[in-house]
Amino acid sequence: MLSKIMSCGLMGLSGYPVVVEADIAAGMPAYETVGLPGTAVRESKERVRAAIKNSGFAYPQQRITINLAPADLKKDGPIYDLAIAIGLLCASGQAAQPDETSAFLGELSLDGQLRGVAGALPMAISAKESGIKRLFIAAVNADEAAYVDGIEVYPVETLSQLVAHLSGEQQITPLPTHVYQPDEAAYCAHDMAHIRGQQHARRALEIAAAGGHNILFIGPPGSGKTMLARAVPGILPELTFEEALEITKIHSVCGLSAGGLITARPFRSPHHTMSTAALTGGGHRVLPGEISLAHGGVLFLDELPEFKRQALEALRQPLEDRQVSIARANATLTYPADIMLIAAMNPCPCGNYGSDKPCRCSPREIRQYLSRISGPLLDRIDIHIGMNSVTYGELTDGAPGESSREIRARVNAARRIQQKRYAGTGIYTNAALSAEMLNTYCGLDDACNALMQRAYQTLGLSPRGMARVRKVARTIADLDGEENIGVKHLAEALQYRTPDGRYWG
Amino acid sequence: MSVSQEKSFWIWMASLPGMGAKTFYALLKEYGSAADFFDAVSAGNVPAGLAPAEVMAAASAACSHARVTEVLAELSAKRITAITRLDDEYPSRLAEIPWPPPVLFVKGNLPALDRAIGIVGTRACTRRGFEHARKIAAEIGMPVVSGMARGIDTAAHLGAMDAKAPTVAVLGCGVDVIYPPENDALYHKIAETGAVISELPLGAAPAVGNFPVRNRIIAGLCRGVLVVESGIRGGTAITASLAVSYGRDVFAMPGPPYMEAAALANELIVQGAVPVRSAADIRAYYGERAPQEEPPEDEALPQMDFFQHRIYELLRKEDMGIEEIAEAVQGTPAEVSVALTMMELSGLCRRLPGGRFGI
Repeated sequence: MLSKIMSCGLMGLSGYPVVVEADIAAGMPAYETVGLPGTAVRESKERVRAAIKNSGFAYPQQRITINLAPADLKKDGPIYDLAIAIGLLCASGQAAQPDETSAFLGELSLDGQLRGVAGALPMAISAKESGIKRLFIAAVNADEAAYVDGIEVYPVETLSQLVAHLSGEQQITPLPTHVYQPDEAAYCAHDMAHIRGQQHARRALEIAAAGGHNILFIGPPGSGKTMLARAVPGILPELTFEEALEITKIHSVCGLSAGGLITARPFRSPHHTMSTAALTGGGHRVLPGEISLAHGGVLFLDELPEFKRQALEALRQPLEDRQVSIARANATLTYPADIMLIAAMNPCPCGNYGSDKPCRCSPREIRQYLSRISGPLLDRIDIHIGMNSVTYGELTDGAPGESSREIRARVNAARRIQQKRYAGTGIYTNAALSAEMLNTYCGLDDACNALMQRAYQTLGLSPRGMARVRKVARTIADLDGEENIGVKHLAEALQYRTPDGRYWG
Repeated sequence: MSVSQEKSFWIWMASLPGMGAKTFYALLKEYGSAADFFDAVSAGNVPAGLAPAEVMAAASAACSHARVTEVLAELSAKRITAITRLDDEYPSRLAEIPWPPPVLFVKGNLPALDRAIGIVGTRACTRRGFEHARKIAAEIGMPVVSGMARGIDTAAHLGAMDAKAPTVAVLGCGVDVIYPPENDALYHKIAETGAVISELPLGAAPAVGNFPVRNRIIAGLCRGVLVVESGIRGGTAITASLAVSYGRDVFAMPGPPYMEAAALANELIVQGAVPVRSAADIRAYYGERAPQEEPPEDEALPQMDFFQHRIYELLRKEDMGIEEIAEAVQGTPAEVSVALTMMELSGLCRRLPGGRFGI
């Protein structure tokens, strides 16, 4: 007997339809899987056998052949357990054959329970696109998949429950299609209101969020860099459904989505010992890296100079292109990587250079430490800010700051101005302005030009530094709701330039 | 035997690695002259125990007339002069101390040092301390001697050069070795307007033990030593106590008792050092008149608005970050940033490391 069951495969962020064919033929008991199965797919044999037996069905003691079509794509992961089990039960006449618009996804445990798999959301989307109407999936994955409109998602607990549903004995109720709602509670978890003092850094973060600028904090340990960075996702605009869907897809592929849609902007803070592949993506299965997991949110790199030079250099292209392409022997994949980079570092190896405490580093050590960050990477960070350590009194006595919600309202307003201005140009924020666009959108009047000229002569700014200042000034003017860049906007923007010209031009 | 020949043997002896002043004079006393010591070494009859074994090994290895010529040739190739105690140019005050350096290697021209003042202090100084030391050195109108180390030493040399006065740097390594490396430019400037000197042979590395020995030359060359900023222990304290034992005047710049950097100066004042606030105090001590009246305090300042003026007044008192300034003047960080940029462009304030501002 032969049976065909629809299922799904995953490649990068998109799924593709897979047909699981199960054939039972007369002969010595045997089991063969073909269609480029990976180890996890090969091993499904043992899980399927135990699950069928323990769910009260008979395991066919005949010659079994499983084919996964298309046969030229490598299949990985335990996704196909459920489809194989149903296929065997249908082929042996123990279950009713489902139609071709039903797809099955899930890993089986030995007692017949259904476990979740990674990538449920992207597979549900592609299943819908390939004409599937009903998706049978583990209950833990169902919430996530139910955000896809136009497909019925059935949360399945056990194999026997599913067989009962197929034969019409006991129906499983499909989940209603979920409607997206931005999650205010997730935003409030790290509210700016909890951060006392640090007015200067708060202002810089507001500007960075409004213009999509990357930002670098330079300050001694304990100056609150991490706390401030943690609060940034909350002052970025609320996620749209499309953004939320895309972010969830990425996290789903990595098996990091804890059911349901991700409704808050991600905050990723990888440790500085991480490898280049972990940062940009890659590995055997070519999974997204930290930079893609931070897509739509914040990538926070603490102790920036401690990161491997190679890893930092690999960041440059994604920061420019807002996506990352990974080429490997078996696939070339592109993952989105539209992030706000927040980097933090000490001013010197001991951390006390420029603070009240004595610094123990020689000028040479400081130079070596700072030179670990390359000029091209620094060029992609528009706002640099020096910080000082906070005393205990300031941490506890200061008045509570403005809430993230209030700041976000101003950020949203500034972003709307930018979207209107850049409509049809392919960019959305001031940070993305190219050198040619600078003159069109960041024009300076005579007074501003005079100020820039003086700054160029007295402050030792580089031409690239000047371009960064103009972009930041554009964002400050947008926050003020003003059409043209004024002297005060430029003057403020000049304070966010590279702090120590002696070491960094 | 001519004096100049004896002088070359002195230079040869002083160029032996590991040869200290004490060993030098012990050998000289035993043999009567450097030339006789040379002969004794080449004859191979120097009894053990007169000098450390490694010095004697170096002496026998270098005991040839060719080597003597080579040492002199290297000096002239590097434009370094050697002044021995036999020479008239040898600083007379330095000759008074116990075990004065037998030979001084000099890069540049040694100025007249009878009015010299040593200015010494910690390497890890505060910015204010650095600037004050520089100001005193510039206004003192006397040759300034220091050690070309980081911090106060650097400030002292820079100040003297600001006033185009000669300055002398005494090194704890060979006079042709630049240490610390970032003072490369300073080294060459000092050699142009004054002198860089050392008693150590050419090429000697900056070993830890060299510096206290070097400090005795600083104290020995000067009629007085000014201690600017320093912790209670360290090279500065050694220089000050050597100055006392040589009968030099000790000046100290007082500071608040809670300030670690003022600890040594305050301690010295308690023990009887002369407290000093400015260069004028030192000149008054020696009964010298100011070479020139001080410039009037109220220099014409570029135009500032009221807000900027308040910030300026704050920064005159101490260095501050944007945060603190904003709190003190009741403004937003954005307003303060704007004002600070304007002031920076007019040269009214400066951005310092760590996000602070000062004037």
